Amino acid sequence: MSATIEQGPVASSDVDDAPLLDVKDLRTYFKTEDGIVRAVDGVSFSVKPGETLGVVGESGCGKSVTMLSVLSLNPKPGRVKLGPEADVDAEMQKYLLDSKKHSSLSTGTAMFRGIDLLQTSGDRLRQIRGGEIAMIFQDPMTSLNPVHSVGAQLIEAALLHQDISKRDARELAIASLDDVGIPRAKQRINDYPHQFSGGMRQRVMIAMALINEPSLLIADEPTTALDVTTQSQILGLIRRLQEERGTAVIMITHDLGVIAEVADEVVVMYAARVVERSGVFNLFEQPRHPYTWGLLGSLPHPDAVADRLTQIQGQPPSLLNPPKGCRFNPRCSYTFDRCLIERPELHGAEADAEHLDACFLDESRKQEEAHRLVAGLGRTAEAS
Amino acid sequence: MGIKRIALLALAAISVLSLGVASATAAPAKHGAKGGTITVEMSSDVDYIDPQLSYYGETWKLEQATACKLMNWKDTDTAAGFVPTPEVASGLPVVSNGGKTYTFTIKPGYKFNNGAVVNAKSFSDAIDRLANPAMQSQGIPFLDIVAGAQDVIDKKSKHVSGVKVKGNKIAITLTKAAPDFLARLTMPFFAAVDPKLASSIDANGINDYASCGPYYFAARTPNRSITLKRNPNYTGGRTANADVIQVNIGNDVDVEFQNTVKGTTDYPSGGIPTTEWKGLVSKYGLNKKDGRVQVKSLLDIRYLAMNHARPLFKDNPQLAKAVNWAVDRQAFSAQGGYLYGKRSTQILPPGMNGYKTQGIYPIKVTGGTLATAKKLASGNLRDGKALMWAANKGVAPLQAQLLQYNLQQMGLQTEIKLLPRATQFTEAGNPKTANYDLTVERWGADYSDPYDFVNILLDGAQVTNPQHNNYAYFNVAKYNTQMRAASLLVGDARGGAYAALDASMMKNNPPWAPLVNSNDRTFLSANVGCVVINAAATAGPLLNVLCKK
Amino acid sequence: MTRYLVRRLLWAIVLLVAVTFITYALFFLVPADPARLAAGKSATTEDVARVSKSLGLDRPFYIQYGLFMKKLVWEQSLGRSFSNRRDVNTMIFEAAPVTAALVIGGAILWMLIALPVGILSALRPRSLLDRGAMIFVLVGISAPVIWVGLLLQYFVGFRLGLTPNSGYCDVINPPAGADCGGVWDWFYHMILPWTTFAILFAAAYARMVRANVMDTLGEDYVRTARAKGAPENVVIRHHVLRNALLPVVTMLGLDIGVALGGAIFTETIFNLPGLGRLAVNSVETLDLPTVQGVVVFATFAIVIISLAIDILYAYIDPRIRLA
Repeated sequence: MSATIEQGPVASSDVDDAPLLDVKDLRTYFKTEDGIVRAVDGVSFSVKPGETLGVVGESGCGKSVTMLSVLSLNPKPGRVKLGPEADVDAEMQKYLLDSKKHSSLSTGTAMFRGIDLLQTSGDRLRQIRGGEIAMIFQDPMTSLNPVHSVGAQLIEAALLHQDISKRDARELAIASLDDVGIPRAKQRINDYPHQFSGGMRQRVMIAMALINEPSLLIADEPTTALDVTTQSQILGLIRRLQEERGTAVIMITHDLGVIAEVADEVVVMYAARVVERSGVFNLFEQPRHPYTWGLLGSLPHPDAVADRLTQIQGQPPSLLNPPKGCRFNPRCSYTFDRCLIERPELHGAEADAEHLDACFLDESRKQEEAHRLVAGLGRTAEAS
Repeated sequence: MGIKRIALLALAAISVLSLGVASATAAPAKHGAKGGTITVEMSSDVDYIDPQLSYYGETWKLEQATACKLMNWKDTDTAAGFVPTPEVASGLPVVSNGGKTYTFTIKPGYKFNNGAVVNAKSFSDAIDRLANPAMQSQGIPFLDIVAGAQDVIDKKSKHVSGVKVKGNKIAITLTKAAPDFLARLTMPFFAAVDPKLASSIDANGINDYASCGPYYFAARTPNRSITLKRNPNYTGGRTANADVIQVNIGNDVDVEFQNTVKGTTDYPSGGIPTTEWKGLVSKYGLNKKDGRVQVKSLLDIRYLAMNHARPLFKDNPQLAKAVNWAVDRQAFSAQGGYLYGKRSTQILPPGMNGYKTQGIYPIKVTGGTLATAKKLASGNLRDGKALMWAANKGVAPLQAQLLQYNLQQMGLQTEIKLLPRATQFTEAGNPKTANYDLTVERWGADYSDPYDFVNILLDGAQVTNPQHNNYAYFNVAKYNTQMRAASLLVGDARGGAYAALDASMMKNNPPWAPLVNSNDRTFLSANVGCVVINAAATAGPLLNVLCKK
Repeated sequence: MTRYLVRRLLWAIVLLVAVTFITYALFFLVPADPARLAAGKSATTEDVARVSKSLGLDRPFYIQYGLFMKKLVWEQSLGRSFSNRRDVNTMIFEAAPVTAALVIGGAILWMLIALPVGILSALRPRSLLDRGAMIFVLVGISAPVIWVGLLLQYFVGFRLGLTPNSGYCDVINPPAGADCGGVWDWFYHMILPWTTFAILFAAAYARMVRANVMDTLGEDYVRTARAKGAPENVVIRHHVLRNALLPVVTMLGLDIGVALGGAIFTETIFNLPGLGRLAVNSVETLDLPTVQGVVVFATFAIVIISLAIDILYAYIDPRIRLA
């Protein structure tokens, strides 16, 4: 089978270790009745072919919107290209308030195999959606159309991107269902979504996403709605298929346990911004941002006793009117003057330039705290 | 309206037996083109087109064009039209047996549209069919004076023994002298029937039958349409101008008016909005020869009946007179729109035998009349409260309010109760339910004779019946005797007796406050050329005369 | 499915008995006497008694009701009219197609208006089209049927003369003497009745379609479809509309009963010889058998239609079918 994306820049960017998807300074604003919501506020990340990027953060931190923005799947999406000198925030607000057609607006770059997805639209964008970049969603219950059989939905996906007959598409659909571990795929292809269990439905979603062999799969909390055993089966399935096909995966989750299980690289998001970015090993061994510490502290370690679970105090800030300075400052126990005034930018660690964080704390303080936290987790494990 | 249309047969200007008119064959010459289709609209369907069953006024407009009868009304609006005239009878009957036997001779040449010949038996069959209990005809009350009819009604006989056919002669014997019998014979109940219809006994009515008048019923689709066509075998002298008379059924008055203005309908028999009359008269003039707007008075009366069985009006003639002085007939009439009717202060309507202008009460309210009313009422108001019934539709509630105001001015506090029309007269006719002091009523003549007004409405013998028409519960021995005596008189004596009764009752002991004699208002399309209205024959224009310009 | 059908039919029978009984009881609360009406103005007490006996009106009302039900069940006969003694079955058989033509044609028209208006205004909320459509909805929902009908009749039918202002033409077998007949005449005469009949529902349905489409546009599976790379027209047609219009089908089933009620006004205004006008005429003449016949038939029709809609719904919505 042949991918329908034309050759050219695609082939050239495929050769080396260059990022498959490289997102820079992505911003997405929503127009609501209460005002402008800055749901994604300058996010950058990249993912390499075959690699798994984990994106972690609390609900509402902008991790899903980030991915939807990349594929222009937000409601009534508008995109705008702003000059380097522009007052981005002001321009975005003005553009959005003036627009009748759009209720969301994105800017920045999202380079995918040499093309900027935020500059792409129409057929070109649709070829990439589902063909090159596939997406699965949190709730398999509502993400499948209830009035079409799963077969029809898979066949539709195949026919949108592959120049094959309907019969071949059907065969392909059966094979895909078979591949994701749905028993008696040949019969079950005629069934409707409500006839499948939650886990099976998510398998169907995965089969549908992968039917066109995309190079990137964005999985938006694919296991959140499932019970624990099913969760690990689905994660296992994604990992297996990824290995078999060399698909890159962006795994969006609020669960560090999932990150630990599947991710190579990790982006930690808080209040529409990236607060820490590193390899998965480094993140767990040397977390550098107080928010990450909080997340790790609340991680239900398999050996930890219940009362050791620590929650991050307070609620995530409103993106309508976020705090000045570091957005984590109201909930952070390390907050000092600077945090209240200045916005921290991502910067590399002294020891490891690839490990980025956005915190004003001293390097030594960060290491000390990280060490204490990781050791504490370890001790608990030992104690039990 | 939920009730049977009041059949309005009418107008014997002089007593039928004193007539010297010989023949009905002299049809008035009518100009205008023959042929074409005249379109008529009716608001609701007729009851039956079967001659022995039909009893709606609207149906009788059609029967007048289709039926042939022993006695009929001429197609003219002159005085000659208001006298029952021999049609299929070759002349007036020979009356014998002390006024109880009528012998008619059949004129040859009349045929049904199916070719059957009209003979004496055709009329004898009609009477048998009318009396047949299986037909359940509403015409039976008009028949029961014919000797032997009761035996047929009671299923003791198949043939009305009082009717005898001999050659071209038919003799009808009555149980008692009935001076209004010839007028009764003009009703479609007595129309000739062909042998096939004679043997078709069906209470559902026959829709497909032959008739012997100028037209016949060619088709009927219930609730939709009725089609009359010219009777090809008709040799009588009556007019038949259009080839087809098409009756469309079911439009309300607004649409009938629109269609007549457009010219797709020629005669809106169901009526037009009352507010239109004034404009039409100023545009087209009134009662012009063959004009588009014709207004003729009907043989009817609208009146305020005073319940003499209730405490307020029982033996209280002064108050009844006061009411007659107080009511504003002009305002009452104005509610019905332009040319609604003519104010009346007496029982008999103009045109009826026995009608004589009495002028006992004012037709216009002034300060003076009100003072008279107050004077008469003073001391006779009893508890000063009254309950008045009126219909709840159309202009009736407004008219009731006007009357209420008039009565209040003379000191009578009146409460109004509005009822559906059918409920109003059914309950009013039942002594058990008639708890009103006053009720606004209307009566239209079945046939033109004072008996149908005075005796039917005011004879006290009936007031204990659960269903009667004496809504005033008027039961005065003296008057009962006088009206029964009057009913046996003929000619001028009959008219004189009823006129005297009218005057005496209204003057000394008024049962009602008469209000208005209604008009029959006709509007025609621009396409109609010939118009003859004979209120004795039917309301509205004679359909057999209407022609295309 | 069979059990469901049986249950529905049993319910229909209960409904039918209740409705006919209430109609009967209501009639006996009206003090006017049908026998007197049927006997005529000049009838004597004996005449009325005779008519009363022949119509069976002299018996207590529960016995009359029992006889009516017996006749209905054993002979499938609704009896004969009091006022003109016609066979009620025949009258209903003649009137039902007219009402069916009005209701079905009206339903098609209102869907033809409601679907595009509702969908387009949902896809472009707050646009000029949407605002215009919502004004139409407001007017359509608040305007009484009679007012709309008379207005159309006067201006379109009479003043402008674009259509007939009333009357009905048969498609086949026009009655003898009828001045019109055939498909075109039928259609031409039905334009105003359909429009009158459809406006209220068109407005209500446009609003419903708009709301449903807007809701559905926010559904996850619509996002899934876009994420699959489906073009917008496919997304709308294939994924949005099918789901958004499912509830409309249910509403259609429920509204048939309401629509039959609306047919009374439309038929009266435009003089269509349908069930509504038959009912009005018979109520006015206290013609109990005919009123009862219309009630029985309408109840039956509503039950059968809503059953059919339920089955149809089960067919088009897989979640119902197998649940």
